Amino acid sequence: MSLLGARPFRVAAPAELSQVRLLALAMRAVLGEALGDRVPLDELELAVVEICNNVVIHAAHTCGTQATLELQLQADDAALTITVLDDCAVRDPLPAGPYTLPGTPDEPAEGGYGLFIIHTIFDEVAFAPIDGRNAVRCVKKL
Amino acid sequence: MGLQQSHHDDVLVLTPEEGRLDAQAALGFKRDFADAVTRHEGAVGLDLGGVSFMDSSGLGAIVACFKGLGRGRSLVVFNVRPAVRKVFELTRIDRVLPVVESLDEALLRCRS
Repeated sequence: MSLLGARPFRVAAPAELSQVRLLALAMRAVLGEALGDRVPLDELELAVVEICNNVVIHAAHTCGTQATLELQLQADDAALTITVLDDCAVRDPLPAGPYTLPGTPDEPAEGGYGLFIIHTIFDEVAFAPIDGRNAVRCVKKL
Repeated sequence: MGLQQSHHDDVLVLTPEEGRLDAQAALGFKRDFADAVTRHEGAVGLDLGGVSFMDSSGLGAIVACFKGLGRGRSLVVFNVRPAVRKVFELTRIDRVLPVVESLDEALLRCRS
């Protein structure tokens, strides 16, 4: 049974860092209302922010000032699916794994944690363009 | 970002004024941290009690500040909310950088 309606719930914002936090907070509000404590909201917010940050930092410059980020949310009894779409130049933002922690205990890294976090929090992560738009499809089992 | 400063004898305690330490705030945090510690020679405590969200950019900023202090000075993070603690644990940075519960515990670690 669908827990978020028959069609995906959509929320979109300009692809800017200042908007990523608002997009994440909107997602959090929707999932909190629809799914309550069935989902780890803190972790989902973190992982989705990491995906959106990657778009803004690495790709938004390819599509001028009109770049848009969109989240599509779907859920049933078995899983929550969050798809992050952008309309920048097509690229696969998910290099092949394994997704290991950067740095060493003696020399911790100052960056490069994003992909590890995303793949640790979600059960499935895949890049699959939709209608010419970049789309990262993430599944969290319920 | 803005950092409040307080001195506890030989330990400087810094407290972020914003509730989110994310990619938008990370650069400002690093700049403000660097400004604060140049005027202080001892250990530093970082009070994250007001930070409700931190992403990998915020974590990277803290790691950069930690490394920037050099081996002779310590940085201890304390008063961390569960969502932020999860980021330290997930990335295992808490095995490198001390993350403790309270100011008292942080002061002890800074002086040990």
